[in-house]
Amino acid sequence: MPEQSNDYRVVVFGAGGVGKSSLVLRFVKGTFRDTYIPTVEDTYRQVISCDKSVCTLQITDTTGSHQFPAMQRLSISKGHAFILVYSITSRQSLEELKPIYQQVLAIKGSTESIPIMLVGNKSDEMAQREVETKEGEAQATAWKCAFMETSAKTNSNVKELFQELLALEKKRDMSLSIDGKRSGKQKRADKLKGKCSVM
Amino acid sequence: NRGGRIGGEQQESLLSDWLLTSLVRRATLRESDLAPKYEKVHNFKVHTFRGPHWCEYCANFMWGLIAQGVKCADCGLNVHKQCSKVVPNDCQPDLRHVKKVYSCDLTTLVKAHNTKRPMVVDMCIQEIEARGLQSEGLYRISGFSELIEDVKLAFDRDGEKADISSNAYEDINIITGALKLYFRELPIPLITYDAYPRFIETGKITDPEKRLESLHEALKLLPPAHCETLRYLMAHLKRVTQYEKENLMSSENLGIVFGPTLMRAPELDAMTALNDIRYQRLVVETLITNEDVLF
Repeated sequence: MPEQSNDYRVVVFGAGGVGKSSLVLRFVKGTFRDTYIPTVEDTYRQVISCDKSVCTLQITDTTGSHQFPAMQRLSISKGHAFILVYSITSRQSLEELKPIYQQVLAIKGSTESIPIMLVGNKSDEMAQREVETKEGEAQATAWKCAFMETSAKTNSNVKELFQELLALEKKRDMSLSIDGKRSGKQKRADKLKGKCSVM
Repeated sequence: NRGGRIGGEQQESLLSDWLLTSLVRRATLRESDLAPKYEKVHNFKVHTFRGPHWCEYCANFMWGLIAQGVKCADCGLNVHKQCSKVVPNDCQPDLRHVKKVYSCDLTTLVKAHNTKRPMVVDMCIQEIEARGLQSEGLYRISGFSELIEDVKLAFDRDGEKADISSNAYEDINIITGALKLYFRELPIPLITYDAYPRFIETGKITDPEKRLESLHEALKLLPPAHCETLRYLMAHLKRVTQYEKENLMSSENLGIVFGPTLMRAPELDAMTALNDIRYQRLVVETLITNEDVLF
């Protein structure tokens, strides 16, 4: 792992138009835009709690429309955790994650101690579903990573996604909330999941 | 002489062969009269010739046992190393030497195939305009990478005979992916390394009128074959934006997707490259919206 910095870097990968930016924006800003603008690369910051102090969660939203091997390699080598997003309305978008997963594996050596989440986004568009939940789960099992279906549009499972991801990190003790600054919404989400963050 | 040993029948067939080839040659000649004459420098590489060879420029003997002279990798011209510096830029690439389509220099490719533009560009654009203009996220959504690789192999193998119809590749995003890959793999990008700084400068100009003017000047720095291909592509992308309601691809979106595909910074400094992306987007966006006045 690179320099001992206080940042925790999460990188979001996925094919074009699956909703990477929507997921990140929903999590960081709590909003959903119905606009259609491809991303080049954006980085968002969020303060979280880590090992009983604060640290910055740095989320890199990558491009899906055109692969730049060099930029992709850089994001992977710098990233601590990865979110691999596909759209449940497109089988192809799941297929496209395969080379990305292979590259993470190749650069990191092993994915054992690296938090990775496979995410099926657009779970609100049930009518257009092409990838069954079971198939997503099977892929996650094959990759030995966690799995979740989300919808950035209806705000379903978005916060949970990031929580789970941080919980997968065994080297540090992290949670989304900072001491004393918990929002009511956050508490409710915790209760719903029956999980307790470190306080 | 072989001619003396062959019978009448064979002679006749040889004669008809000769007639045919001369007809074909005349036809291709006429075609090449139509195709624009792009100037191209030779691609000389040091070469060891077997047996005696004479320089095809000065006609003198090429002395030595190894590395007697240089050979153009694109057209096969053999000359002295000294002569290679004064040979005019009249390289006419030969298909025998130019084997690939992807990752082949753009001017070399069009000269070798005697076309105005790379056939990949023409064929992909025709295919997309025939069946994909209304497809959501055109050029944004990517196709299966293996199938895109497949299209690339088909072009490398079959050239203009490659089959990219809907029977072969049903998903239009494979065709757009193959076209974007072609531009990304060019050894010299469509907007050349030499012209790159000038194009980026134009992106930094805020006054729209002045930006257009300077962009017009920058276009003159491109080799003719590059400029012609860019013109054709921009006219196509303009047509894509006319279906924005259906495909959701505005000129801004296409600028984001095509910016880094058509322009590459000459030196690979990650920070400047990342900084430039904003201007690349602006340049391509301006090129699309103003293609009618710029070219």
